[in-house]
Amino acid sequence: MPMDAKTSRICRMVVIVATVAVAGWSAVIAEVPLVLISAATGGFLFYLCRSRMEEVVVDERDERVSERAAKVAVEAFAAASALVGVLFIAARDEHPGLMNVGFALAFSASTLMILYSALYGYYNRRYGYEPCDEE
Amino acid sequence: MRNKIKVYRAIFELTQEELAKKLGVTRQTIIAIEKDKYNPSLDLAFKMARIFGVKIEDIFVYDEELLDPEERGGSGRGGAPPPS
Repeated sequence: MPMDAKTSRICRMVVIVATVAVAGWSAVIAEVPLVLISAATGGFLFYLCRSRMEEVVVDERDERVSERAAKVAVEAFAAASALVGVLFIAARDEHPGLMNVGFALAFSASTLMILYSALYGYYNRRYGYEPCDEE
Repeated sequence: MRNKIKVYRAIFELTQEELAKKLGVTRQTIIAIEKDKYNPSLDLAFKMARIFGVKIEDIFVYDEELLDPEERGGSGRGGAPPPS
Protein backbone atom coordinates (compact mmCIF):
# COMPACT_ATOMS: atom_id res chain seq x y z
CA MET A 1 0.00 0.00 0.00
CA PRO A 2 1.58 3.31 -1.07
CA MET A 3 1.95 5.99 1.60
CA ASP A 4 2.54 9.71 1.59
CA ALA A 5 5.44 11.21 3.57
CA LYS A 6 3.34 12.01 6.65
CA THR A 7 1.77 8.54 6.92
CA SER A 8 5.17 6.95 6.41
CA ARG A 9 6.70 9.12 9.15
CA ILE A 10 3.91 8.16 11.59
CA CYS A 11 4.28 4.50 10.62
CA ARG A 12 8.05 4.59 11.24
CA MET A 13 7.60 6.33 14.59
CA VAL A 14 5.05 3.74 15.74
CA VAL A 15 7.37 0.93 14.64
CA ILE A 16 10.35 2.48 16.48
CA VAL A 17 8.38 3.04 19.69
CA ALA A 18 6.90 -0.49 19.60
CA THR A 19 10.25 -2.10 18.82
CA VAL A 20 12.07 -0.22 21.58
CA ALA A 21 9.29 -1.08 24.05
CA VAL A 22 9.26 -4.80 23.21
CA ALA A 23 13.08 -5.08 22.97
CA GLY A 24 13.48 -3.14 26.23
CA TRP A 25 10.94 -5.30 28.02
CA SER A 26 12.64 -8.43 26.63
CA ALA A 27 15.99 -7.17 27.91
CA VAL A 28 14.48 -6.53 31.36
CA ILE A 29 13.14 -10.11 31.58
CA ALA A 30 16.47 -11.39 30.14
CA GLU A 31 14.99 -13.02 27.03
CA VAL A 32 17.75 -12.82 24.42
CA PRO A 33 15.80 -14.53 21.57
CA LEU A 34 12.88 -12.13 22.08
CA VAL A 35 15.24 -9.14 21.82
CA LEU A 36 16.62 -10.46 18.53
CA ILE A 37 13.17 -11.31 17.14
CA SER A 38 11.70 -7.91 18.07
CA ALA A 39 14.71 -6.07 16.60
CA ALA A 40 14.51 -8.04 13.36
CA THR A 41 10.74 -7.58 13.09
CA GLY A 42 11.06 -3.86 13.86
CA GLY A 43 13.77 -3.46 11.23
CA PHE A 44 11.64 -5.23 8.62
CA LEU A 45 8.52 -3.15 9.42
CA PHE A 46 10.61 0.04 9.37
CA TYR A 47 11.93 -0.89 5.93
CA LEU A 48 8.37 -1.61 4.74
CA CYS A 49 7.12 1.79 5.96
CA ARG A 50 9.99 3.49 4.21
CA SER A 51 9.84 1.58 0.94
CA ARG A 52 6.09 2.14 0.51
CA MET A 53 6.52 5.89 0.47
CA GLU A 54 5.70 7.55 -2.85
CA GLU A 55 7.58 10.82 -2.27
CA VAL A 56 11.32 11.28 -2.52
CA VAL A 57 12.76 11.83 0.94
CA VAL A 58 16.40 10.92 0.44
CA ASP A 59 18.29 12.32 -2.52
CA GLU A 60 21.90 13.12 -3.40
CA ARG A 61 21.98 16.19 -1.14
CA ASP A 62 20.81 14.14 1.84
CA GLU A 63 23.49 11.58 1.07
CA ARG A 64 26.13 14.31 0.89
CA VAL A 65 24.94 15.71 4.22
CA SER A 66 25.02 12.21 5.75
CA GLU A 67 28.53 11.59 4.41
CA ARG A 68 29.89 14.76 5.95
CA ALA A 69 28.05 14.27 9.24
CA ALA A 70 29.23 10.66 9.47
CA LYS A 71 32.85 11.61 8.73
CA VAL A 72 32.90 14.35 11.37
CA ALA A 73 31.12 12.07 13.90
CA VAL A 74 33.62 9.25 13.31
CA GLU A 75 36.61 11.58 13.62
CA ALA A 76 35.25 13.28 16.74
CA PHE A 77 34.30 10.01 18.44
CA ALA A 78 37.58 8.27 17.57
CA ALA A 79 39.72 11.19 18.77
CA ALA A 80 37.70 11.79 21.95
CA SER A 81 37.41 8.13 22.96
CA ALA A 82 41.09 7.44 22.23
CA LEU A 83 42.17 10.44 24.31
CA VAL A 84 39.79 9.74 27.20
CA GLY A 85 40.63 6.03 27.04
CA VAL A 86 44.37 6.66 27.30
CA LEU A 87 43.80 9.16 30.14
CA PHE A 88 41.71 6.62 32.06
CA ILE A 89 44.34 3.93 31.56
CA ALA A 90 47.07 6.34 32.70
CA ALA A 91 45.06 7.19 35.82
CA ARG A 92 44.71 3.53 36.87
CA ASP A 93 46.77 4.01 40.04
CA GLU A 94 44.50 6.75 41.42
CA HIS A 95 41.24 5.34 39.96
CA PRO A 96 41.54 1.58 39.34
CA GLY A 97 37.86 1.34 38.39
CA LEU A 98 38.41 3.49 35.30
CA MET A 99 40.98 1.18 33.72
CA ASN A 100 38.44 -1.17 32.13
CA VAL A 101 36.44 1.76 30.83
CA GLY A 102 39.66 3.20 29.41
CA PHE A 103 40.51 -0.03 27.59
CA ALA A 104 36.94 -0.30 26.27
CA LEU A 105 37.11 3.25 24.92
CA ALA A 106 40.58 2.82 23.42
CA PHE A 107 39.61 -0.48 21.78
CA SER A 108 36.37 0.96 20.39
CA ALA A 109 38.33 3.90 18.93
CA SER A 110 40.82 1.50 17.35
CA THR A 111 38.06 -0.74 15.98
CA LEU A 112 36.26 2.26 14.53
CA MET A 113 39.41 3.51 12.80
CA ILE A 114 40.20 0.03 11.43
CA LEU A 115 36.65 -0.31 10.12
CA TYR A 116 36.84 3.20 8.62
CA SER A 117 40.15 2.43 6.90
CA ALA A 118 38.84 -0.87 5.50
CA LEU A 119 35.66 0.75 4.18
CA TYR A 120 37.64 3.70 2.82
CA GLY A 121 39.82 1.29 0.85
CA TYR A 122 36.79 -0.59 -0.44
CA TYR A 123 34.93 2.52 -1.59
CA ASN A 124 38.12 4.08 -2.94
CA ARG A 125 38.55 1.08 -5.26
CA ARG A 126 34.86 0.97 -6.07
CA TYR A 127 34.96 4.59 -7.21
CA GLY A 128 37.84 4.06 -9.57
CA TYR A 129 41.10 4.28 -7.62
CA GLU A 130 44.04 2.86 -9.51
CA PRO A 131 47.67 3.09 -8.42
CA CYS A 132 49.62 5.57 -10.55
CA ASP A 133 52.38 3.91 -12.53
CA GLU A 134 55.29 6.24 -13.23
CA GLU A 135 56.57 5.81 -16.77
CA MET B 1 28.78 27.96 -8.94
CA ARG B 2 25.98 30.36 -9.81
CA ASN B 3 22.83 29.20 -11.52
CA LYS B 4 19.76 30.42 -13.33
CA ILE B 5 17.30 27.78 -12.18
CA LYS B 6 14.89 30.38 -10.83
CA VAL B 7 14.83 32.08 -14.23
CA TYR B 8 14.23 28.83 -16.10
CA ARG B 9 11.57 27.79 -13.59
CA ALA B 10 9.79 31.06 -14.25
CA ILE B 11 10.04 30.59 -18.03
CA PHE B 12 8.64 27.06 -17.82
CA GLU B 13 6.15 28.06 -15.08
CA LEU B 14 7.36 25.34 -12.72
CA THR B 15 7.19 25.51 -8.95
CA GLN B 16 10.10 24.20 -6.86
CA GLU B 17 7.91 21.24 -5.89
CA GLU B 18 7.12 20.39 -9.52
CA LEU B 19 10.75 20.65 -10.61
CA ALA B 20 11.81 18.52 -7.63
CA LYS B 21 9.27 15.86 -8.62
CA LYS B 22 10.48 15.85 -12.23
CA LEU B 23 14.08 15.46 -11.08
CA GLY B 24 13.34 12.90 -8.36
CA VAL B 25 14.80 15.02 -5.58
CA THR B 26 13.35 16.85 -2.59
CA ARG B 27 12.18 20.45 -2.72
CA GLN B 28 14.86 21.23 -0.14
CA THR B 29 17.51 20.30 -2.69
CA ILE B 30 16.06 22.68 -5.29
CA ILE B 31 15.99 25.47 -2.68
CA ALA B 32 19.62 24.75 -1.73
CA ILE B 33 20.76 24.76 -5.37
CA GLU B 34 18.91 28.00 -6.14
CA LYS B 35 20.56 29.66 -3.15
CA ASP B 36 24.02 28.45 -4.31
CA LYS B 37 24.35 26.45 -1.09
CA TYR B 38 24.67 23.10 -2.85
CA ASN B 39 26.31 22.11 -6.13
CA PRO B 40 24.32 19.34 -7.80
CA SER B 41 25.93 16.23 -9.23
CA LEU B 42 26.64 16.10 -12.97
CA ASP B 43 23.82 13.61 -13.28
CA LEU B 44 21.32 16.02 -11.72
CA ALA B 45 22.69 18.96 -13.70
CA PHE B 46 22.25 17.03 -16.96
CA LYS B 47 18.70 16.08 -16.01
CA MET B 48 17.93 19.73 -15.29
CA ALA B 49 19.41 20.85 -18.60
CA ARG B 50 17.36 18.22 -20.40
CA ILE B 51 14.14 19.35 -18.70
CA PHE B 52 14.76 22.97 -19.68
CA GLY B 53 16.04 21.99 -23.13
CA VAL B 54 19.32 23.88 -22.77
CA LYS B 55 23.01 23.14 -22.18
CA ILE B 56 24.36 22.75 -18.65
CA GLU B 57 26.47 25.90 -19.03
CA ASP B 58 23.33 27.87 -19.84
CA ILE B 59 22.02 27.05 -16.35
CA PHE B 60 25.20 26.84 -14.30
CA VAL B 61 27.97 29.42 -14.32
CA TYR B 62 31.30 28.43 -12.80
CA ASP B 63 32.40 30.90 -10.14
CA GLU B 64 35.34 29.94 -7.93
CA GLU B 65 34.50 32.62 -5.37
CA LEU B 66 31.41 30.68 -4.34
CA LEU B 67 33.15 27.32 -3.96
CA ASP B 68 33.44 25.62 -0.62
CA PRO B 69 37.04 26.18 0.67
CA GLU B 70 37.53 22.39 0.74
CA GLU B 71 36.52 22.14 -2.91
CA ARG B 72 38.89 24.92 -3.98
CA GLY B 73 41.89 22.74 -3.21
CA GLY B 74 44.53 23.09 -0.56
CA SER B 75 46.65 25.75 -2.24
CA GLY B 76 46.20 28.08 0.73
CA ARG B 77 45.78 30.97 -1.66
CA GLY B 78 42.00 31.06 -1.66
CA GLY B 79 41.76 29.00 -4.80
CA ALA B 80 43.60 31.45 -7.02
CA PRO B 81 44.48 29.99 -10.42
CA PRO B 82 48.10 28.89 -10.88
CA PRO B 83 50.37 31.46 -12.55
CA SER B 84 50.64 30.86 -16.27
